[in-house]
Amino acid sequence: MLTYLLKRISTLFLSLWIISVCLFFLQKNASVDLVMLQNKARSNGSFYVHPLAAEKVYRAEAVRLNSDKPLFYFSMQPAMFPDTFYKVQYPEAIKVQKRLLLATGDWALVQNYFQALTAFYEKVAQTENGQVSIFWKQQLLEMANTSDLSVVKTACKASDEMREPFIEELRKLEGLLNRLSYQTPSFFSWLPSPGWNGFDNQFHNWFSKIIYGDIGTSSRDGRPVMDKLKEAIPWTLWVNGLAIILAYMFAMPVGILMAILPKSRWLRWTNNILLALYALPAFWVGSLLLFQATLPEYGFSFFSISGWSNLQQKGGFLSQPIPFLLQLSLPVFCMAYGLAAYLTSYMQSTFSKVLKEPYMLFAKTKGISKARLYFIHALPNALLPQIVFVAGIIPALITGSVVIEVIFNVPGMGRLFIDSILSQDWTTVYSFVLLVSVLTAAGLILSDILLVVTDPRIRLTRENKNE
Amino acid sequence: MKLKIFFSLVLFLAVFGDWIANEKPVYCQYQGKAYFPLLEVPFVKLGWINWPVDFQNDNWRNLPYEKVIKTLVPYSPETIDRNNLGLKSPFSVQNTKVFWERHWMGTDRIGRDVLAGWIRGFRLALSIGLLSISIAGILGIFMGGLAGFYGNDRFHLPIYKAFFLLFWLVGLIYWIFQVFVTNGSNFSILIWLGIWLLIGVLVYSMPAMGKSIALPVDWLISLIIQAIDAIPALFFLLALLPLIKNPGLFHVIILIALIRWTGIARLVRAEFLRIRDLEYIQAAQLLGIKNFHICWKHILPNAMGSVWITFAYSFAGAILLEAYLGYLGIGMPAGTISWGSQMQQVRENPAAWWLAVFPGLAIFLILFSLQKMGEKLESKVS
Repeated sequence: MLTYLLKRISTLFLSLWIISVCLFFLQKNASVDLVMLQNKARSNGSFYVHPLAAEKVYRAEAVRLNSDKPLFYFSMQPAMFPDTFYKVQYPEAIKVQKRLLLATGDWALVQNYFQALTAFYEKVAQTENGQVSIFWKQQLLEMANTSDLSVVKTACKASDEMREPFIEELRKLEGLLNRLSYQTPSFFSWLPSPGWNGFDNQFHNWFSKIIYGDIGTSSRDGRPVMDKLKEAIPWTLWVNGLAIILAYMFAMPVGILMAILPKSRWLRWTNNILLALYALPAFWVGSLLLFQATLPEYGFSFFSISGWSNLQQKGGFLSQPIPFLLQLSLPVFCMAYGLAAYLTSYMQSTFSKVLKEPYMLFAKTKGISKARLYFIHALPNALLPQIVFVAGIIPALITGSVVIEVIFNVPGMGRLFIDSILSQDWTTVYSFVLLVSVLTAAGLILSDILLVVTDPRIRLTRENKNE
Repeated sequence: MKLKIFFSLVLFLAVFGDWIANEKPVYCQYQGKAYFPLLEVPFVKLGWINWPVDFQNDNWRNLPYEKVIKTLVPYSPETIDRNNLGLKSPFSVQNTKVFWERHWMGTDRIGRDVLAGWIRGFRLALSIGLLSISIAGILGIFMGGLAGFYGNDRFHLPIYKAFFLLFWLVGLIYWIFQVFVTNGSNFSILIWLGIWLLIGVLVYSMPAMGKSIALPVDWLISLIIQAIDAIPALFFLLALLPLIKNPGLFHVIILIALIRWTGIARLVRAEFLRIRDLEYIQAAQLLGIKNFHICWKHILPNAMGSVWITFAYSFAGAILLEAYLGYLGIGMPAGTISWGSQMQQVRENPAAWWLAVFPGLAIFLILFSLQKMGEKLESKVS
């Protein structure tokens, strides 16, 4: 048992590690221009970096964000890439340099070209207005934004008079451009050059922070993701917890009743109704309820879907339980009915299975009263699988509550998730996915453990045999 | 029996929906000539039939036909009916020329016919469900079968080959990645990929030397399954789809398949584990029948019984996921008309009940009948 558990937990950690690697790379792949985004947020949307200064600004930011390091423990790049390629930080520069490098295969040449380009732009910026027409200067400076080769080419082909103040720089650029357009990477420079980056890399730093509970800050507003989650989690817990409790309150009596009663047409119909309830999409019922129960025209305006934060500020459940529960009632109902239907048929099947056990027959022949038979002998045995079931179902509930929270405006985790996606706040999104997958994995393990703890007959031997 | 009728109706709507709800008339006489616009579309595209210029303006509804036979629902899902803009209820007074051309399920905010979009929804839901589940089925049966048949102790390889395989796989991933980076246009990378594949085949077909070890195939595949299962399906989709630059239906289908294969694979693995130890399989192995033949002809047919049940449930799950995506408006290609996207409009206009009732009803009926079918299959198997 213990070895099985240890094995199970170790593979679980391995798979969680794999997930976090994938999520890390997705996050890196997805991140919009972080520096631009954060600076824009800080300066109310009026942030502009001149391309000449960009590399410097971005490098300073990268040090602050800890992203001036290699991505992973090891790297596999084509041999033509330098080991220090990750040090280039300005996204536009990365794009152009990568493209040039893949086209020419000569890193020194690409770097020379970029230095020449920078020198050229500095020269243009320094020229006094009398030396060159303002329009032309403006055009040249704007070219710095594009870092497009063809634009530079046209500048090189301008008339002598126009090129006069910076003719030297332009000649140098032209020479380098010619070399760039003739060179192609050799066949062998495509071979991978594996490299070991050591432990001081971005993934390692990110992952070790996560282990200590720091899951990063939002790339939108700079707030710690944990704070955002802390605000959202109670709402999701309220909705899901109430839904589970309600569902069980319905499922227990009805399921037992259905198991006890003799088979009849009535029972078949109830089964069908339960199946229909289970198949009824919650978000459909939610959106139907939304207009039926919240618009004053239909007479049910006492449910409202706004004013959640108001409710929270006033102290939540303890200070004003009735408005609180009323507000939660619609989302909870939408979450609960499908679960209740599923749990009822589950309860029915487990209870009728228990009723068929030999010990129940024995108890019956002993002449025990029916109430004693059902509630003392059958019920505890039928309840065990139900307890196990709850642990496994919580993650599925969180998934289900995403759409419900969006419909009813509940400021819970699902809403937070959708809002973060819509505002491209990838740090929050992926920290969130990681958190949910840890929860799911923990739920699965917990239900396994509960299964063994509650039923000593299970030794998990069959799975052991095949491992 | 009733289920069969229902499913054939759904299939019919999915396949012929565009001929039922279309703004192009079935038959029309225009400027003295007879046309069959609905049926002629592919021929016009091929250039075999020429249409008058008026037909090419997509103004089908207002042309002065001499004679015309329209389709049952004379609107395409995309048709904007300017006379009935802004959420006309099915029961309200509608501004249509003929009573038959009413919007039986109302219109949405920009005047599109809800019934036409509703019929289009069948095709979308069914194609996403069927395609993703068949991809997931193939992947799941393959991986589950591999894990179940070989387990951790039956896939023997000489040690040097096992190490080489690891090395080779890393290289393969590198080359495929490079092909993607350069869009497959770089000739030398394609040559390198070819060389790498050739090396793999050569080394793999070399004779076995020295000791052999068993590769833990089952452990590896179970690890992958566990990792994918730990991410709830909707989160997986919602976190991945926005990253794709121009998401299309293809991406949605592939991603749903990537989520759904694990359930099928787990079941197939368990069935293979059970069946491979039965006597008739051992007899077949003693007869020297090849492993693939044993799996395909002797194990799989016996394992499929319970796999069909998960197909039914996964199908329902895929349709629901598609509806969620449309409803949340994330990840589906822009402008796609689906049940989810119709229901999404209710969020802005809570009083437009017809935009919620009909699409939801379709989803509910399909889910319900799939559950029913799953139940029936279950009772058949047991």
